[in-house]
Amino acid sequence: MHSRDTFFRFIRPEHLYLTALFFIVVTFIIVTSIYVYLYLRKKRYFLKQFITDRLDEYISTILIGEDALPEDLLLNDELAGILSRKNGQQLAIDQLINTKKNLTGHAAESIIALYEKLNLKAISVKKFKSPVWYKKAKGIYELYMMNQKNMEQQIVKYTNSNNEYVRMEAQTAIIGFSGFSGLSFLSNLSYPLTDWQQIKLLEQLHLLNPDKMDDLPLWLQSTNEYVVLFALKLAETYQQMQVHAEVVNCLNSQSERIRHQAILTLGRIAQDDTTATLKAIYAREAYSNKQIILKQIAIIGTDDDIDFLMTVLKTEANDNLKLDALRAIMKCSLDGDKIVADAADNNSVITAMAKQINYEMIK
Amino acid sequence: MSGFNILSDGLTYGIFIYSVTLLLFYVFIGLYSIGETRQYIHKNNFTDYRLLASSSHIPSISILAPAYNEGATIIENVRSLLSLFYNNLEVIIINDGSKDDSLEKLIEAYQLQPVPHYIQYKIQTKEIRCVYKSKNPIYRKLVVVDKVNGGKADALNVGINISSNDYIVCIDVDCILEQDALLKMVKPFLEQTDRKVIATGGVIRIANSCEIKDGRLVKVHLPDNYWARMQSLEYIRAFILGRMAWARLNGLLLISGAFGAFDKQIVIACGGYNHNTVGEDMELVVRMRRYMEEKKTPYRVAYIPDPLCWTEAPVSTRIFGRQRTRWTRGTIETLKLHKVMFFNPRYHVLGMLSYPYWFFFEMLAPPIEFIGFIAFVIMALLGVIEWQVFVALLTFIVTFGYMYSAFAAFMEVITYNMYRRKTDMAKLLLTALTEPFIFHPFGVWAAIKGYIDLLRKKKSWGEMTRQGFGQSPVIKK
Repeated sequence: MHSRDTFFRFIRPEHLYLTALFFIVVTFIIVTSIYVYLYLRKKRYFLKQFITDRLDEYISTILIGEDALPEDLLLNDELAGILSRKNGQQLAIDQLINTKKNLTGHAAESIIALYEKLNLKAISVKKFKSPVWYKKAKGIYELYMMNQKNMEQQIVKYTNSNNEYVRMEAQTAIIGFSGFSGLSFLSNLSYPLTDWQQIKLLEQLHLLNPDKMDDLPLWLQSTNEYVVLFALKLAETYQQMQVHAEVVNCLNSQSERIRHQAILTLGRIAQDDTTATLKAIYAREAYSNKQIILKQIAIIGTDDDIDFLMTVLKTEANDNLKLDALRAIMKCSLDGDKIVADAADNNSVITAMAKQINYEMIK
Repeated sequence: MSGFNILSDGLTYGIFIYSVTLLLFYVFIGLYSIGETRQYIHKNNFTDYRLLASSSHIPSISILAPAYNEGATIIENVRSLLSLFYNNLEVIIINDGSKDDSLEKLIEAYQLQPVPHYIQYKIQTKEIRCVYKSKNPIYRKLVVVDKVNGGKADALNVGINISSNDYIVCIDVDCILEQDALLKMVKPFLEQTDRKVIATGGVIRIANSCEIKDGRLVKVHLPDNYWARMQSLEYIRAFILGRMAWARLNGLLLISGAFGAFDKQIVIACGGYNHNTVGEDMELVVRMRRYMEEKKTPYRVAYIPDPLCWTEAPVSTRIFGRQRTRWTRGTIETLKLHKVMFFNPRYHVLGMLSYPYWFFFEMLAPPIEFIGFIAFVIMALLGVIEWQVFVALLTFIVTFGYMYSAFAAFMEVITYNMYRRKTDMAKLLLTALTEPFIFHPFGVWAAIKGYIDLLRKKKSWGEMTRQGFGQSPVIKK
């Protein structure tokens, strides 16, 4: 028998037609689902519009009156009906959060009061108690956006959760509730604190009045590399001069990133011997850290650092480092332009670099 | 057994096994992408990007936008880029020796003046004629570089040399980005912990027939033109299903040249874009991955399913065909350059899965289909076709294609739902019905021309005509 016949004995046209029929049925189901979904989405859109309009009316009334939310707040029947349903409740929470993001003071408090009055907190708490990570994270988000401080003790436990997103929301919530004192979670953090989360926390703290950070020296010595990095950023942002010694210690870290951030931080909390410390580690540092050292010296350096910078200019093969050294010379000394002009003599590369730096200085 | 029988059996079994494997891959990709997209949406559904847009702590980014004969649209395009939400940004426009008045228009519109700039040729490029910056502080983020024509890869390398920031975002200058596109693209770099993120890709969507105002997309419509509409469906399938699944496997080989973010240090360490291939976007990603594998450094290439970048798709068969011809050449050239990775366990997923997939199902698919078609014609002429089986096989494969397209459309609707009108969705699904008979065979033919071009050692990009968003046609090369 021809082997192709064997093939067609197994793959018979009727098998193929049956499978094709299956594909057609699945396609039909998918297309129907698309239209059902589009219909539901449209319905949801109108529902959202309705909730938004009604809530806006309530909010406007409260804001115009500048009074506390009335105890006997009455919802019209239609809105009450919608808010008794799960999707209506979620839309209302989302809407209140969006509105609150743009408000402060009395207006924001009124939104929170409305959230509580409509019993929406229970919905957020239910999500917070869910074992599903994204529901829990969303619950935490809603609770801190609505400033539910009495949930702090329950949420704080999750600042070291093994789920990255639950952990991040819990940390954000605690800073939201307690400000700088909320940073105490850093002492027990055993998981990474991503750059994204660090930026988010710094931006959150930026809105608050700086407070004492008593545990900062401990965080700078943490075994968690991410905690050290964040502590260095805190020391830099809030110029925590008292931790200079701990920051200098970080220059001996195995981690290039920690050393990098420590150099940046030292630039902001510099003491008399800081440039000497930076110059001492320059030779053994990685390229990007060398760049940062030169940039810091440009900010905090003096005439005493010119010899070092001239050595860098003469010995470094990398043009970026030469450029940074020239910039630092211009900034460290009043005679910087003269020193640079002398260095550029008969050297076309330095001349071209000097022209660029002169332009930057004028700008 | 006669030679004809052996050939016939080889074709029957070979193509059958090939097709079944390909279909299984499609099923796997479709299902596997769901988890990644779902995860992304859950993770980002309450991220407030506004908080970070003005932060001084976010990393610095340089947008690199090569421009060649873009005079008709360049002013608006640059304005659109300058209006993006991002604090720590530099927009570098590289005029790649345009023959039109692109540069003069830029100088006038943005009050540019030549500035002294020491150029470090970290990557070798064609000569830079001049660097311009604006006298007006409003445009302080803008840098315009005028250089000798050297092609897109060379222009991007100039941008890398000039860039002063940590991350680079390479885009086509005529793309329209969503306002928060950069914040979303930089996020994966900031979320890295145990694995270094070396690049992030963004989804490209088709902007034809969309409403654009002041360089911003204000309303999305499904393209009126058949070819552009078909590409809309193709892009949905490729980006929402294909690339998300490959990203989840950490096996992504391609980030579109129209929109991708890269760690500049790694790009420079790899030597920048390769100007000896027309597939420089794919080649760079493959080379970066290979570099990380050889250094044994854990890494990841991330992908963002949000529709962040809108581009104009070719609307004529001539231009569309040229684009596909070029893509095929780019794929072949890239795979040839990195053939050492083929089924090489040293390169892990990259060598054992991604490369073989691209080799068998992206690079070889067009010639296999073409040979299959020729064989079909010969066998039909010889009267050896079993028509009953042929019709059954055709029905099987066509219905599978419809199911896959419908699934992609469904994923689009439940995720980002860009085409909200029921009629748009109906048009998209009806267009899909024609794909196996019009769009797909044309794509295969264009790819075969790519093979022919390669054999003829043709190197040029070919002329690209763009209509421009609400503008008269623009010629690009």
